[in-house]
Amino acid sequence: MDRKEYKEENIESLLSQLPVVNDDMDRNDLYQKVSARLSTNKSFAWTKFKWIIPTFAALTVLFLLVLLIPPFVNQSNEYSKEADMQTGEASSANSDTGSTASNSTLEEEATIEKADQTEESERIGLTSDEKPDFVSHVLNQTIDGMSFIQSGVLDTNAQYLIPISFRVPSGYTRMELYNRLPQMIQEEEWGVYAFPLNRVSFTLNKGEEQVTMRIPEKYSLNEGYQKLYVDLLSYMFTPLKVSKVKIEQTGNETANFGMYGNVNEIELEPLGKQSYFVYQVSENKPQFLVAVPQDKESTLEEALQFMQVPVDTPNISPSIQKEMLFTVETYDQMKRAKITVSNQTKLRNNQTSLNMIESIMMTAKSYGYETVTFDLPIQKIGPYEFTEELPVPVAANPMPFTE
Amino acid sequence: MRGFFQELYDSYHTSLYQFIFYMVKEKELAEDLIQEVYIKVLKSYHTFKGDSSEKTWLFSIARHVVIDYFRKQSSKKSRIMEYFDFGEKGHIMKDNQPLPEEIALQNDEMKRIYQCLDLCTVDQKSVLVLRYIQSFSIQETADILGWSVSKVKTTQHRAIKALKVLLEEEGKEDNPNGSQRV
Repeated sequence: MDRKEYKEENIESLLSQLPVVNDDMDRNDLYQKVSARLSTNKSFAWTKFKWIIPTFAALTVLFLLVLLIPPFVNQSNEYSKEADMQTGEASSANSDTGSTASNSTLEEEATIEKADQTEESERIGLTSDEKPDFVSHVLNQTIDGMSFIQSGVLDTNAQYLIPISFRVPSGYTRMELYNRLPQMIQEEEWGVYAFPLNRVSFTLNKGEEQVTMRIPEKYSLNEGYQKLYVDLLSYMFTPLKVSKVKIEQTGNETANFGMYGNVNEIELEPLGKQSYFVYQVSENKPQFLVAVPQDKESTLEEALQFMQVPVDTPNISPSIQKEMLFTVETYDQMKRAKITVSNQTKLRNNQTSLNMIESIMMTAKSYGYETVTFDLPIQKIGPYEFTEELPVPVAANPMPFTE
Repeated sequence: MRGFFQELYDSYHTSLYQFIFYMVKEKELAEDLIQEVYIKVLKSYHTFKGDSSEKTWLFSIARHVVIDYFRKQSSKKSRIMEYFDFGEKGHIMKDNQPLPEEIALQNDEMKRIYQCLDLCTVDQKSVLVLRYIQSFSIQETADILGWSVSKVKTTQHRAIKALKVLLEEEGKEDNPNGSQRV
């Protein structure tokens, strides 16, 4: 036997025996430091925010002006109209008043049009501040024979793989796209980190369910990232039924793949169960659905509950509202899922709700489900109507193809 | 304010310091961060609604201070991720600090477990420190972390499993000839 075997109880016991580490700072010194920093914070806060009072005063004046002036203007219009009627000289109204009256008519028309728009918005469940310019983060199999490739990027903390997909434009093959990935991934614009594929090439070995990956001579993987790299290869090639990636490194018989050792091929396995969260670095960068791995014994319901809780990685946020209560029923040997929201959670037809629906569907897909039925307190979110069961998407995060 | 500070200090300081120290593994840094915790607590005590116990409230503030620190560190590091030399993984930083005296006096096995803690994720480490070093109950740990009880249990289970693998691997590296360490 090469090593000591540990039982879980041993580890728990060792942990509880870790010693108390003493704090060398005296209580009074600590208090002095804390109170000094508190007063610095206070003065800093005042310096930083002393512009607030004049700004607030100016805004108040502006607000009062906006509130008080229109009634006076309307009043003067009314007086003008009355005066016109009384004298029977409708056409002799001065040009200013006439133009104001016609503006007023235009305003009325605009108001009616706005009311119509509001009615239309309410019909589809939108509030006036929500515009229906949704961005879908999945690729649905709606186009016959649509061909696409999958790949992945990393979040800026290199914790999770963000799957991405591209539709194959006419005139290109899938393999050509795989070999163009470095040009197609806009690292800076998207707020992600790309895997280093610059000097890497892929060839599909026909009939062998195998891809050959050629890597340059000095190309090694840092420990901790090989797993994500192998996940990337799985994302890329398992949809093509590829089960093995053969690695060829210039000048070497085998390539060093860190924890995988010196290898010349890697077996691919379909990625397991995953919960999808929302990833976005800043408001001016696009949102992505990001896949957080789950236990293989976990259920879809557990995965969805997990998606309500923040993960400790910056820029990744829960995709399901914390207060939402739901049940998950499954049918047809776990191929069909029904998700019923069991409390009166407020759902709006907006991007946040769309992200939730698409995150749930991608999560369901990773759990092997083929369709999802939603029973929600809203009939439609983005392009999805909940009257029928929805097929799970084919891929996440479709990105535009760039030449 | 001083009286309130002293009350907090007497009741919780040792535990709070232990928590922060075992999360960041650096005494000076733990001292800086605990000051941050007191500042936040003293500034926001009036907002404490009593929904949780004072202890869990304090620890959840301490945890946020630690997470903020890790977050700042990881954003500093993130641009280092050039080519495939990504630098160390986000929060999972290799412990290069000298061992504090209290740990240095322990046997090899205890030193190993102390070092292996760094190879767990922040979530796993938080649960291990709260549950086993601080002896919080599962419910208290869930309250501090803002998680469900089942998430605490799952994370705890995974953390222990991860430590088991790490300890066995470490043991193998330290002991290549196969002689059993007692």
